Amino acid sequence: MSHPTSDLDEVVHQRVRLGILAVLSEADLVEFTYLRDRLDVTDGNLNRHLQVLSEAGFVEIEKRSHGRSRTWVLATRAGRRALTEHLEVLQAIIDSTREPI
Amino acid sequence: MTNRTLYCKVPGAMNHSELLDELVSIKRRTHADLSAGAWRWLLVWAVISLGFVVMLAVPGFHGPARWYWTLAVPLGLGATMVADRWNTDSDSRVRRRDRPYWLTTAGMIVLTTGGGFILPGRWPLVWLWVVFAGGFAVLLGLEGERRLSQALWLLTATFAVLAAIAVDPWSTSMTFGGLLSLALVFAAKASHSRWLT
Repeated sequence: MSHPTSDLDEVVHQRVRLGILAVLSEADLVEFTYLRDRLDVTDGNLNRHLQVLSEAGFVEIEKRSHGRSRTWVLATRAGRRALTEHLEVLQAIIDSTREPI
Repeated sequence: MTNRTLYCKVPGAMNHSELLDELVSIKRRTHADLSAGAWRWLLVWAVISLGFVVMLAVPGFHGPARWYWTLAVPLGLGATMVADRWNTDSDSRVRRRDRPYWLTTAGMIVLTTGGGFILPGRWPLVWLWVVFAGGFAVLLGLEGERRLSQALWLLTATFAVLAAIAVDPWSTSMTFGGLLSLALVFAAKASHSRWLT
């Protein structure tokens, strides 16, 4: 039987990328600067992680204008599912270490 | 090496546990930021609902009260739209989609107006309260307030049953009798197929 860690998705299993998906699981549209401030990362760092998630099909990035142009990020269905599955695997790992030997 | 880099490089349960805690905290803070503007539409519709209760309490206004919503709903929608616009124009950087809210409100209007024309006797009033309470439960669900939404659904169902008994006991008992018969048929079918397998 394989250890639950083998089920962890390498694209999602990164602190900032998990944080991005966690924010997007609550909201439908999140502005770039909100993610940057909430996750305490730099613009360049956030850009890089968003690019990874976008290439994996987990997020979409849109430019929208409400007076001034702003960059919005939204999770795709695959992104929401990836987060849910990832959290379940993490929980399984934690539970497996609590089981009596 | 800091704790942050340890999170994902060492598959230790303690680090995963801390990571889960951090994610829950991020979700909670985002939820709080999202709910910050929700009080506006809640206030608009609470004032409108309260206005209806006050109107019913004033003697001689029972006739116009029937048409209260015809005027109040467009006004409420206009006020909600202004509140939403205000929220968009302000520095709100985290949002939910508008469409489910508009669809729910439009559904409430169609159901209340339609019920007012179709239903006889005192049923339109019961229907109106049920649709509005149910609609608010849906809106609370959209806000991510699942517990409050479930509580409101429960209250709405209780009110609907009590009001239905008060308005027309015979039809209510027949409806519940029918529903119970249907439930029994499904239960019998489920248990029968379980016996066979």
